[in-house]
Amino acid sequence: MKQFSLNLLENFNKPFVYLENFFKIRALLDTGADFPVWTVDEIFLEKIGGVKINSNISFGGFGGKTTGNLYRMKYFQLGDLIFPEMHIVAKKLSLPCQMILSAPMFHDLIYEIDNVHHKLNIAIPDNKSNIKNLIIYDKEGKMYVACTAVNEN
Amino acid sequence: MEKIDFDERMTWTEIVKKYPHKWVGLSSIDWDGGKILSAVVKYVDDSIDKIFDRQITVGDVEAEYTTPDELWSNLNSGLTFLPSENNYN
Repeated sequence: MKQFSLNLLENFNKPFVYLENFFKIRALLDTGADFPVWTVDEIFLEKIGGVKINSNISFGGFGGKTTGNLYRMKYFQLGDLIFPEMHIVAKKLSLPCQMILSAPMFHDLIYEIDNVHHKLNIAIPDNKSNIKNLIIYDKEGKMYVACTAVNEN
Repeated sequence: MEKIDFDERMTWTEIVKKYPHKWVGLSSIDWDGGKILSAVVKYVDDSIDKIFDRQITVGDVEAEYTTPDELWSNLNSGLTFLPSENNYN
């Protein structure tokens, strides 16, 4: 089992993760979210290599529904986890962070929010890769998200 | 975006007190785990945009909002709560 930890910011009452090795971004860990969300202006997503692949897709969040644009990032790094060409929805929101991390990103992983030591602890089982594919796709008018490790079928 | 020309190191408490409800661009952050102990404030703005642009293009500052819980409560006010579909494959 491979394990690593990321710092949770202590200025917040919610689990905001400090992504020291990804542009020092602050990201909210939202286990109720389906899709990862880019919450600042899309121009910045494009500046770090994001490419828009779909517009005005509908997704749920914050108790309701909204729309955003679908992007493919060049890559995303969450500690020791690498998400090459990760799909992400861009929706500008007034949040004290730049990204929302969603539950499917942690598929097949063990993760712990330690509010005592302010750590996000992640364990990768031995038979799982740290390289993960996360895609968001449209199937008959509904949006789906899938996250698999690179060497999975 | 206001550029702060003097390099004064302040504690996080001092920064929040001096720049409430603002985005600040911090450099030379003294971290204790996930806690900002002190930093030098280089920029102050009502919006994150210019500070974050500098964060990802130049990399010499990090954008932080001084009163984060205020932003969160503003986000949730006025929303109509409807059932959401979770299309998780």
